[in-house]
Amino acid sequence: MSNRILLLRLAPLLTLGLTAPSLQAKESPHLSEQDFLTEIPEITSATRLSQKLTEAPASISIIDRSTIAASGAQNIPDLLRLVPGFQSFHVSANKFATTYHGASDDFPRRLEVMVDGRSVYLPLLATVDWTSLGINLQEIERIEVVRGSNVPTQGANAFMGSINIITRPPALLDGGYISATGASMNTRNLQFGHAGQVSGWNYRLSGAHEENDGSDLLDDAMKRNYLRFSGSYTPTLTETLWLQAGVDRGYTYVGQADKLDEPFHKREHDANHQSIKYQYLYSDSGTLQLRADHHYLDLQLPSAGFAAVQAVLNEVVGAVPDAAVDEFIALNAPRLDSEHGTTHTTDTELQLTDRIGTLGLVGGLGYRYESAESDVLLQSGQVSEERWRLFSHLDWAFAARWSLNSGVMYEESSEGSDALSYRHALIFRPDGRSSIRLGYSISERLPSLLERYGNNTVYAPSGLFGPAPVAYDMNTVAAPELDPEKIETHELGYYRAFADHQGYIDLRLFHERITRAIGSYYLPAADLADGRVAQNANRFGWENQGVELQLKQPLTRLLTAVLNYTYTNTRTDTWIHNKDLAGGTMTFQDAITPEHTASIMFNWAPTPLLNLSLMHYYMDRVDWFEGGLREGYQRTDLRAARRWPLGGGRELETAMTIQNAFGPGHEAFYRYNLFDRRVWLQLTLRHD
Amino acid sequence: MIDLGRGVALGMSRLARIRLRGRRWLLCALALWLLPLGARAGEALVVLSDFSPSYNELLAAVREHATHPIRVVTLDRLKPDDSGTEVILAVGTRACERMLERYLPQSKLICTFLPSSTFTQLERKLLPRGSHAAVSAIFIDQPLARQVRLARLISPAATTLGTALGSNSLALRTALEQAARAEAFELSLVELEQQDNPMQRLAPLVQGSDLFLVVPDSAVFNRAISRWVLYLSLRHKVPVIGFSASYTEAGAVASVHSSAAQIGRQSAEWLDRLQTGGDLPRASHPRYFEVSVNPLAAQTLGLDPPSAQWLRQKLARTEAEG
Repeated sequence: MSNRILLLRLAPLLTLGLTAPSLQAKESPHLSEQDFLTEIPEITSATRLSQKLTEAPASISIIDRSTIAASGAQNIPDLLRLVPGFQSFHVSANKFATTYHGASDDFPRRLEVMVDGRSVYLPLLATVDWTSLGINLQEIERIEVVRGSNVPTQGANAFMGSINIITRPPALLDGGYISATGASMNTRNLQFGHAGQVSGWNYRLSGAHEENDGSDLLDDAMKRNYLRFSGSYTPTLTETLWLQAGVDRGYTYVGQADKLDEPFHKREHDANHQSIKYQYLYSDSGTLQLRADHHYLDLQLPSAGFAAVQAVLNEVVGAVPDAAVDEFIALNAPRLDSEHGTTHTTDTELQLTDRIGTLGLVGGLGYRYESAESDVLLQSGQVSEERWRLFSHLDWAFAARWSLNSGVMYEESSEGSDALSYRHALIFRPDGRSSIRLGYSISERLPSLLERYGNNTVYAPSGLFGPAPVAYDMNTVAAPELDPEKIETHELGYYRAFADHQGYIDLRLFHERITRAIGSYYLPAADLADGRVAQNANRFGWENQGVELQLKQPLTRLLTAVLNYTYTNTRTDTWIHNKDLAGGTMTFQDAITPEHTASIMFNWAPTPLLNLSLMHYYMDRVDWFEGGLREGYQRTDLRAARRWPLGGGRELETAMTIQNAFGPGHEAFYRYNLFDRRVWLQLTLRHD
Repeated sequence: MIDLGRGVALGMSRLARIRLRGRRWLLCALALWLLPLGARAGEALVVLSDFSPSYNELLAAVREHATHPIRVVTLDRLKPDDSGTEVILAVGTRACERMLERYLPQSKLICTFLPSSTFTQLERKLLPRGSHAAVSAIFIDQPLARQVRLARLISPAATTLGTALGSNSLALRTALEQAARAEAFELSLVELEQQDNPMQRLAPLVQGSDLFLVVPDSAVFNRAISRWVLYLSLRHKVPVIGFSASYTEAGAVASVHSSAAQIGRQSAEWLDRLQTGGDLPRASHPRYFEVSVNPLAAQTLGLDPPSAQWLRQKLARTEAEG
């Protein structure tokens, strides 16, 4: 407790310490050697400071534009198969998820996902909805993935890691593209993008119409339209303003493919976002940044109709009169699935970055307002939360080849809990291209609105169990007193960039201990039909240890290989869920996390116009929460792309991707969600 | 009235400076009486601005290549009698400035690892005009001719060389024009000020150039324009020639630069030369340098540049011949 108080006091001091010398600093009358040693901005996701991979206190994987194109991936989670430690899966044909070090259901809760620094984590579902982000893969410049807890930098949602999707800067290129994709699942995708200048602004406008019929076995089609604007303006040499806005509307059929007779249901979505960022270079090394953004998502599932409700009631309590069915509908507003509701996230942040001698510093203050409303998941009404955060990070090069990175994040929730997270890493750089890192962190994750306030009760109409309506079954009750989850991590990392930055090796040995993890625990409730009710509780825990390897190696001038491998040994605590009200436990068949996950990518450009790639993925058996035990699988994807210069700054590209080319189909997450061979044909016209 | 006031103020300022210089030389004379008894004969003093990775890399190279003993201090540990050491190597701008302030005539001072323009300014400000002080320097920056020559090697057919200058690099304009002429480039140049919209000023410049040369200015200027220059380079398919390895990594097709270790090596050679009775060389740009090439950036722009090693050797050979 005393450490916590000390650190709490330290956090604001660090931030204030950052601002004081900077504001007092006067411009040097002449150039110094530091002017020649200016770092051109590099990755920032790990600490918010601009750092090289050899300087960062965490393992970071970069999925660049060429990898995105060569992979043939059709969605962002598919790309994360190329990152060590990540497991991506299709929950259905059009619903995807990704998790770091397994231990997840179909709504992974413990990863922060951002688009250009804007969080797209949904407090309503405590996860990310990949089908309403309003961004197509051609708009992505690179994806920075921090492997391992990144709460000290990005806040509570980055409990197991963070993903920052960086889109193409508006000022980067003129011109545009139009791209059509078709073939498997009767896919009909049309995507476009255009960049240009108007009134001193650089802008990018992109959008798409995407539609497919889903898999053969399940009725899991989707259709969506989205439009996105991104603009930048530079009023003076040292000031830049960015604006982004977008809208994404459509539907996806959702359901559980663990039974064949359970129908999927149409979930309509309406999402929009707005973001503004201002950056000012106030000195040779100082940067002030102000950011504000808003993210909105409305998910609508149809109400269960009279016939459906009547069928269920007949099955559960026997024949009921029509009036009772109507009353049941009025009391419960039953939906065909639970992914229903509205959520807002509004975030503002002030950040200062500077360098004082050998000390790189960043600090800031943020405020987030989240609200959620759902008559299925949050039956008691709208809930909201305010979160304040104070963060600071320092990178101190205290000796010739040594540096110390320390970051701290303090978050305070209006719902009566706070979280303190910190990370320290000692880094030794034997030369300019390699580093050895010893890291330690403790992170806390504030519960999401859904985890804290999720509640759902089934009311029986009057006359069925008494003269008045009664609570018949309580599926879940709110847990307002939840504490933050906690993760303690030890890691040893090694990174080496090969000559000419054509390849690298990235090795990470880790040990993670997750405690106070949130999950359902059943309490006795004698009045209810099944005599029990589920409530979230901080009762669970597990431990991961293992190794991650990423190796990129050019084999010839035209052929490059990227290998990813992860070994994870997981030891779970005894998970008492008390479902039987007699201390019942959950078992995971020793597979809460896949023991081995691997992928390899070969990319060959035999001519400047031809690009061929082969990807092979392996994931060991895993017992998904909700999804069940899935055996390990292998999958091989092939892609061939040929460009045809048309003159006048235009070119045509044809590409064919075969996913799971050599079969057989494997069960992905759910037993009946088969990932069979899929073929995609893509035609893209680009112009300068 | 206003003019008169300014003139008077200026006059007083000059007078004050002369008095200050007079006092400094008096102090120097006194210090001659109090020569450091602790200094060991033949031992050069290396004064670091502070401990930073770059200074440490330079120092390691000095230790590796120097054949005579050295003693190392940082500015915060500098003692008054250190200024009397016979041979002094001041590493970095701050160390150079301090040692010039305390310069004693019996010393030979080498400032190293600082910009050429800064050394010129410091020398002018802190040494009496016409003094025969034994002071020289090894700059951190490359000669403009070397940078422009690299540009020519990267793109032999290019005609227009674009560049942008800030307030700190404005003085290089004439030298830059000469270097461009020597390599048969037509120079297209903009001067950027704080209130300028960099995209609006740089876009037509880059678009109208065959190559873009980045000339180092203040750090804030370098940071402010780097992103836009690299974006515009991609947009208009114009290769960028940078001034640091970092620039090359970020997207410049090639850069010529000297590492701290290379400047450290040259500094060690100069120290040895002085300690064996040799003359103090004239202030100069780094003798040792390297070229970095970004193959991905080159490929994106449809270029197939020679290897970094070939470019470095070619530049070195041309300089040796010329």
